[in-house]
Amino acid sequence: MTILDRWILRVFFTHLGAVFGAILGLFSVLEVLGHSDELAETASQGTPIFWQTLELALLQIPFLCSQFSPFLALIAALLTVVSLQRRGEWFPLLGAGVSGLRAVAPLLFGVVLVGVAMSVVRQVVLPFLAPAREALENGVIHQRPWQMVGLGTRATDGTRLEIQRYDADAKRMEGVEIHGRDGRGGDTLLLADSATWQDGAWMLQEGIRWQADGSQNATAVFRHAQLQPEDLMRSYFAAVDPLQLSASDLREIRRRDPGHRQASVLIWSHRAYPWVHLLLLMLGLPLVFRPDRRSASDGLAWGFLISLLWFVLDLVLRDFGSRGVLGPFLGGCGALLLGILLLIPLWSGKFRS
Amino acid sequence: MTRRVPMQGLSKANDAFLGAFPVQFRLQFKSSLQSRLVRASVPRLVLSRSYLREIGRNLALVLGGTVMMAALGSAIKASSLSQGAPLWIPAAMLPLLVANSLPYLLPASLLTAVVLTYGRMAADGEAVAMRAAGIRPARVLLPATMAGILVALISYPLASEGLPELYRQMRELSNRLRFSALENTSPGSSELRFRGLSMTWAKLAEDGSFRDVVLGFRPTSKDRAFTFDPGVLEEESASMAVPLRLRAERATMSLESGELVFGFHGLRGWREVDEGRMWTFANEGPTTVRVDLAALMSQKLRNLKGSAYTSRELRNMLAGKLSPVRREQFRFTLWSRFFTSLTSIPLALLGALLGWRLRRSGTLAAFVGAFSFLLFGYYPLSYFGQTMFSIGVLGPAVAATLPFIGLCGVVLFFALRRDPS
Repeated sequence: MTILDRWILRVFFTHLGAVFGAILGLFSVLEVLGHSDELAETASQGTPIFWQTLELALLQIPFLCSQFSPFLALIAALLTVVSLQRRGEWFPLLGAGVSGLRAVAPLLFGVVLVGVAMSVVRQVVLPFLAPAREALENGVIHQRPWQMVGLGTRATDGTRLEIQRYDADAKRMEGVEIHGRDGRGGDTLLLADSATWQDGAWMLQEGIRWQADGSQNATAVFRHAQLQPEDLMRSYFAAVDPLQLSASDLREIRRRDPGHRQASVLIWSHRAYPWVHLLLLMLGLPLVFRPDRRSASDGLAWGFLISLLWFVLDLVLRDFGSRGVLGPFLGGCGALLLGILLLIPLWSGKFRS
Repeated sequence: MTRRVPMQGLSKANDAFLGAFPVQFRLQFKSSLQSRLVRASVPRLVLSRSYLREIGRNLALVLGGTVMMAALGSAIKASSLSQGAPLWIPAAMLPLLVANSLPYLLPASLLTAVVLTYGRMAADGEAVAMRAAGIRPARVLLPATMAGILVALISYPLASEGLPELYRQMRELSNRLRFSALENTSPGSSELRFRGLSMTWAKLAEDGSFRDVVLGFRPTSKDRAFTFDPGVLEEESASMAVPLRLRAERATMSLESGELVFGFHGLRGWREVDEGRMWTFANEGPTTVRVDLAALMSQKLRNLKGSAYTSRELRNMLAGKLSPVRREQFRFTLWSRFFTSLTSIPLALLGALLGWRLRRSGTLAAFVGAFSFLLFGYYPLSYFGQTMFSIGVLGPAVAATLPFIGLCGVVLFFALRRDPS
């Protein structure tokens, strides 16, 4: 890596930090201000909420980062090009015989780095923080304890667990129903008032197992390798906020429910995610990297427009994938494929002045 | 303005004053100053109009940029909140979310626009030239004042009539969202949940029917469809104290004239009679269950907060019977809408004073400065007033006026301070 590459990378990361800070700060503040009524109401009940609100805003940041990062990386890269253009640093480089692609190679590298880092955030950080964020959001904004109500999960052998309420902190279920089959294929139903997770099994209170012939027997312990507390959490987030799940969580959901189209689409979307950063940059660069442009502000405006259009297209295709109109691959990667098709005319030189 | 009149000779002060402006302005002013029939205040009106136009231009640019950013963020938020919901849900949410953020973006944009205008004015020496010509600084602030008044006149009807309607639409959308899962007869996953009704199946057959179905019904009003779902609407008494549990080999689901129709084949059921006793039933043939969606959707929301009503509705309700708590809440809402709109005027004045100090700092720096002031000054004051009212320390009118008074104080502080230039 040459000195110039390192210099361009430094300028890029400086702009990236500024753009991330500005946009994420703006949206965090708008988020808090948008809930100011609820926060005031919670505060009026005597609950000290300042530190909790701050904690909630901080927990939102990784989620906002992962959602915004393709667009922010694009804007930071375009700002880098603009600032170097204004200082007249591109022309000596191009005049010395360096090709356009080689000149912007550090930007491409930087953006790929951001994409990979954000993928790690999506796979590791978001699922780890999701329960804490959900609990805080319920407590601070919705003024109620976080309880998962009307939750269900299933195993690959067809056993289905339905509960009325689940307390994630105490690992305790209430209103337990477990539908299964016995060795002869007959229905079985296990009911319990509550169940608490201890030593790798559910300890049932008032547990009764019913058979299809109407016979019953008391049951105090229930074990199943695929019906554990983490399975309930996964099912909860699959229902209310599947973007918080990692690719491995989504694969597990699909393994237990092969008909889960949304999980299939999101798996492909996760795979496409790092490449989206690179693609958006390659779509935006030709619009701003032009020596004839009087002002690069319209290039930045194009950057915003590309981001918005891309986002809408991705949303529409993912929805079509979840509905079954498109297959999971096209639903999750369709926007990426269309973007690649658009790259060809943009980079072929035909549209350059 | 272009009438020819005998030139009388201009004073040196006027020369210095005019020298700061572009040629077009100078020609206009010379004609004005030459004419004995034209008042001396005319060039100042031209100036005021010019600065007002510049503020308007900057406001449109800054507001347009921030609304675009808000639209992008709102699109992301709408998508994350409504994963799995039909496309019309996030599409309907997007304009509502953007419009909901306008009350916060408009003051920041106005402040930024005025900072940019007066900053350019200071950087180009126009402010010094005007003061040297004897124009009082308060007179120079007239365009900012006029901009503030105009924004106040726009934002008051927006806050009092437009935003409450948006808020209600969001609540209705949330209510509608609960039913969107039922209306989708080809769900994206092998389960369906709605307010105590849960249906899961092992697989979807080629003919669209569901295989190995487990259906349970336990009525509760506490289920949330999505994360922004407000949750409990009304407390309902459960029509069935005992839950119903069904299993079927095959099931179909269709929507017919506002009814959700389930058809079961090979149905078996469990029903608890009392503690320790259960009876089972089975029907090898078809069993049909109909659910009236229209009746479920017709529930009204009660006890909405003050911001959900327009000002006209609030005044009508205040004229009638209300609990003392609700009465105070509505009064606070009315006062805060009025003073929040009025705050545009001291905000614009503050922008002018800040602009003179910051000079030509750039759009981003101006926006960051403006938003920082709002974030660390105006919004905490507003939140403080709201909290003081909630806990009963301040009355509704005083609590609502707090941010406006605070802002006027800051304006006075900057106005009385000596300009470092």
